Amino acid sequence: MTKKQNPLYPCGQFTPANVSRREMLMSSGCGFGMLALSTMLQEEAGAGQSYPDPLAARSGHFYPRAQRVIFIFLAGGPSQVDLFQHKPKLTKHHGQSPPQSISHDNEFTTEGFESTKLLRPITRFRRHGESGIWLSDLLPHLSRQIDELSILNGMVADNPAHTPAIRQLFCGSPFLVQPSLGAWTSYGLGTQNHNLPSFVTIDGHPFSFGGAFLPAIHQGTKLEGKPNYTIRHLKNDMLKGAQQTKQQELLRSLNGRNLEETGTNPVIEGLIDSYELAFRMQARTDGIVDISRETRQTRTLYGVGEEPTDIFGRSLLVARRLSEAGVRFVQVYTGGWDHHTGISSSLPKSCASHDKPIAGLIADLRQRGLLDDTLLVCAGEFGRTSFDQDLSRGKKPPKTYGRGHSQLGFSVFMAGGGVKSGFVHGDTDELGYRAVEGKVHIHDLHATILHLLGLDHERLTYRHGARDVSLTDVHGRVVEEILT
Amino acid sequence: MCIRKTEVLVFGAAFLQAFVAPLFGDEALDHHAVAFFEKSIRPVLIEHCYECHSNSAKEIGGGLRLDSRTSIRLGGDSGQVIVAGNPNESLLVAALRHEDLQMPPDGKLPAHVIADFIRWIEIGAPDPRDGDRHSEKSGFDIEAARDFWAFRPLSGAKGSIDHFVAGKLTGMSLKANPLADKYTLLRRLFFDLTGLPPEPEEVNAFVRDESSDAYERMVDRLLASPRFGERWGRHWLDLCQYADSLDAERIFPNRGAWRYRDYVIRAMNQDKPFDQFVVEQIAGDLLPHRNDAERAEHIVATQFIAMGPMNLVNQFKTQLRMDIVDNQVEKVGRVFLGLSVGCARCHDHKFDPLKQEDYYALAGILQNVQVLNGFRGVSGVFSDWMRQPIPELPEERIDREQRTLLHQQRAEQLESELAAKKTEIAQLETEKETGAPGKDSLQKDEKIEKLKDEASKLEKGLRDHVKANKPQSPTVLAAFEPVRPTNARINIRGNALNLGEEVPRGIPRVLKAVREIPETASGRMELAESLVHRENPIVSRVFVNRVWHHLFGTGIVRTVDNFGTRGEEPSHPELLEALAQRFITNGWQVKTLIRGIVLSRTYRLSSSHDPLAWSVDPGNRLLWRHSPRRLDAESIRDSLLKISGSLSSLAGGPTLPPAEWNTEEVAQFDQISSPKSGRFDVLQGRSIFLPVSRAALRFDAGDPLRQFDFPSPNDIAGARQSSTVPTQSLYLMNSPFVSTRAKKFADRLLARKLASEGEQVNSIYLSAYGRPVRPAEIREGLEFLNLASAVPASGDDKNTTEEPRQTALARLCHAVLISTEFLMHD
Repeated sequence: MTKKQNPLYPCGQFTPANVSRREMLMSSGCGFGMLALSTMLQEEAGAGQSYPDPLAARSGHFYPRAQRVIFIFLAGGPSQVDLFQHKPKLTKHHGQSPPQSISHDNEFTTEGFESTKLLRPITRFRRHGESGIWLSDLLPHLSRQIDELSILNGMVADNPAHTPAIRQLFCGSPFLVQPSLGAWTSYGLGTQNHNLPSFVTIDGHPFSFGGAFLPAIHQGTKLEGKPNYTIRHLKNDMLKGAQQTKQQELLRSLNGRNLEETGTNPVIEGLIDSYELAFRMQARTDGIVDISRETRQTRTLYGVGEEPTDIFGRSLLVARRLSEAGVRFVQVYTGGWDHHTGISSSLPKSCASHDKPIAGLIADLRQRGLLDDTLLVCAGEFGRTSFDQDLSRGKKPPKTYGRGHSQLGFSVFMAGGGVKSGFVHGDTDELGYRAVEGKVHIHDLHATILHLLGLDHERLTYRHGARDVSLTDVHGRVVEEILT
Repeated sequence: MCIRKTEVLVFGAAFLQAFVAPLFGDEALDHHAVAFFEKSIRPVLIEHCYECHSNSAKEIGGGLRLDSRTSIRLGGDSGQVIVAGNPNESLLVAALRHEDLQMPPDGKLPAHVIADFIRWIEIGAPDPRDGDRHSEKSGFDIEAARDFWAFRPLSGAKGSIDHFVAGKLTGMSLKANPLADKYTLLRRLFFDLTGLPPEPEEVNAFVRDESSDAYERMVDRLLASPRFGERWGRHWLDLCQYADSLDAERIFPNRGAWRYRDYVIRAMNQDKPFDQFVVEQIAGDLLPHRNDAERAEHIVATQFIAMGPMNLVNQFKTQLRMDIVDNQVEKVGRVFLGLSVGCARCHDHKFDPLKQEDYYALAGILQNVQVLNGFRGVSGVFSDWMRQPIPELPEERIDREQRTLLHQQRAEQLESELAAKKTEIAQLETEKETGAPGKDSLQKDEKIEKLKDEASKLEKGLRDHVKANKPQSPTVLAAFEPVRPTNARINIRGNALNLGEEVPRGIPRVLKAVREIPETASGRMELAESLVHRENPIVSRVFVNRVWHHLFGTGIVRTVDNFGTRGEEPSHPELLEALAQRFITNGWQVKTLIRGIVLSRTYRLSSSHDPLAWSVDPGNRLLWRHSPRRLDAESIRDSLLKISGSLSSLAGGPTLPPAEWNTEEVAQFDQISSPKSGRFDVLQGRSIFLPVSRAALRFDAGDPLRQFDFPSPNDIAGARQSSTVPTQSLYLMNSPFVSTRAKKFADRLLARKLASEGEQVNSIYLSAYGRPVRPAEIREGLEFLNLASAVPASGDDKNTTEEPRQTALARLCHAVLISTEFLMHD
């Protein structure tokens, strides 16, 4: 391969248009040629364009176990001791004051901490599946998928308040404005779908799908408006059908002439491509999110059409359709997991609306053969205390008590693309309070997810403000123990 | 597209190449390579090679130095040691393999390290280290640091802009483009100086004016326009993290922020000398003043240093305070010096001449600014902030008194309504007690319940009104000089709780300090004066480069916020020197600087494509043409408002009240029948007057500014992104804001009663593109009007009462307003 170097641009960032894209990529000075070439071969139609397509699918740093991610966020902090971590000692010491290891813990205090008592799990735990993993009776559907799951019971995060913790779960840092995990994924891998953006989120706080300083194309596109889901400004309420088609034809003609007159112009070409993608999104999105195209059987699997699972079931079914259509990173945001009060009645409700859809998604991915290269992650921003919280300060009966926030030890589970199945990693102490073995910090979770996608968290960096910034900063360790 | 095919190709590529890095924008391209170098190559060189092969070696082994890009490429006594791209021909690899030469002599390095070197050479041996003068040396040599080009005294280069540009072009055997036509030039000048397009009449008048100084007079007219400050003030606000709120998550309004925004606009319009502008913003409160107005202005100016993102909810208060100071240090460094000083918070700067002591010396000055002030509320979680009173000007006092009167009247009205309710309740209760029980009594109970409900609402309303709406005398979050200024202590590894040595307050040593900081002063004044001191020309270099960046789309130094060793070097070093020198000589007059640039031939070049020049210099570093770009966010929004005749004449003052900051409302005010505050002047005003919230995020789909890369107020953004994403296209095609602008534009055309539809099409082109329509375009426009008015309305359109022709005209306007030619700034 001969190397032609432009003295002005030793790195070959700029592409003379009179050299074909193929020629340019093969000759570029910094060795990125082969990668980009593979991209180009997939989309011959784009040859001759004078700028690289930032969303073109590309390989990461090494062989990926997963091609795509579905990330389910259970906002609020699901209780690990009521759902995933079987702690007989907690039942035994129920009603007692927490031991010194907890009460002398000065890392944080929660409201009502002075009079708190240990609180046993609100229902029984049983072993399930061939793996014999313990799971709460509150999750009967997930119990039947237990042999698909990798459960991380030694999760830790840095901050016990929602906003910083959610920010950390999505962006790595509790306080700084940083790109989200999905945006990093898009930046690293591009997309396989040419009718939709690479990163789609169903609802969610803006920072959870923000791109911060990454090129804006990598930020998530939000689907909103339950139960039918759409993208903002996908349709023009003032201009419909044939009227808009005519207008689009005119717009194409105006833009085409503009490009013809100016000659090679990456900016105009980019704008035109962006319009074309927008036209395709306008034409295809409805079809992709239309779950009526699914069989009744599939919809039932997710609990669509019945209460209380209808809404969340729809979200997950739409997520699967997006994922199947090639969207690299699909994120689903769902709330209702912040059980400060009345946990004995409110947690079962939250479980009832989420258990069946999540189990349904896993079963559906499995039956379609998608689970092998789709990584499913299900996480809250932190967990909850193993002692109770009484916000009424003694004015109301114990059944109104709940649990406070705790980032010191909680659970996250994954399934599919490259993680062990029917596997538990890590644990908290015997009261379910603090992670003591197999600790996995949020940074480690990020490093692991990126690893499964074929990306090295230390090498996936972007220059911002004179620094090479990465999702995990100087932290992060791939949790090798859960990899297949 | 078939997923399977992709997989094969993607995996194929992964096997083909051990080292792959994604292909992205400029920055990403080289920084992956750089990151690889930093991680896998440099540490090995330092650990195993520098002892004998660097500047600091007692005796340089084999005449070979490996501690700079130049020297490693130059080779040593045995000749060249690396052949970029060809590891097998590189002596270095042979030596590492212990084939011929054996290096390091004390033992072969592990195989994976050698593999890294092979890979590194395969990808062209990317090496971010600078030339000879920046060899890797431990220790810190201030004189050497000052010898880096950005810190050196000005070179004294003389000559015109065109002279320097032509010199470079000739050197590469390139020819500059011809001058842009008058239409293009006028539109360019209008957007650059005012952020708005010219009116059709202005276009026609300018083109007809054949006098030799027509362009020059236009430049002077636009520089004198109040719109100039609204455009250039916004450029400055991009740098100083301007926002009308304080916290990054919740809306705590910064009620005096607009005074700073107006101060900046005024400074630009009055052409306040830049050195004075800098001193006022850092130490205005310490300056003498002639009257109250000047005193107020001086305090307001220091909001520059006080304003910035803060997490008031952070429970770790020591860290929060230090985070605020860190932001201020970074701001001073980036904005004025083009240096990322923040890196030195945790360690000596890896690349630039900044030691941790420099950081904490500067932090010491700035920690005395005191932004926080105890706690807000009772929870002990939310920090409160300083509110500094400023002198109230007579007209402000009169205004406040009037509003106070209204406020009292409203309070009295609420009080009397409340009293009336209470009387009614009492009356009913008496009646009930004296009356017989039964149906009547039950009804009375219900009525009493209802009244009590209303009364409690009134009570709450009254409380809120008294508390929140009471007109206050003006305060701002600004700098404050304590009686006993303190020094900062080094935060070991950036941890505010892990304190090291105390560092005396001081100016970073790469700058010449004007004088010692007295013990009784924070040092802000000394800092400010040092920045604009003649012997520190970097501030002038950085600023003229920012101006150049705004006028050409790219700086002479492309990394406008980074003049350090990790930034880029200037494309035209002598030009930058000459501009910086002239800027100082001309008394730091910003308008004079801009005038000189826009009058140059280089600025007036056509942006058209030239295959030969493009093949040599596609990025236009040599300025063979004017670089075409996309319009920025404000230019798009403000132009749409202006062209549709909706732009208000608002020129300053408070922005919307926080309750109305919902970006949805700001973006889609057409749907709001009446905002509570009645502030349509803000909603339809220029973008610079819209509220900026730190909590709202840039990707909020409803906000036209954030759609088009309006920077986060938490960033220091000398250069904005210019992204192209489909959500922008969807926004332009489908948002009510744009559709309504198109409709109003069409209404405006119809109201002008032009002679023909052809005239209408011409007028559309003149307004949107700043040029007259061509015959083929008229034909296309008329054809569209025929077709579009013949298309039967579908769906909801059936209900429209408008004439099909009128609707079709709006569609035509819409297409033109979102077309690439409109969106381009060339």
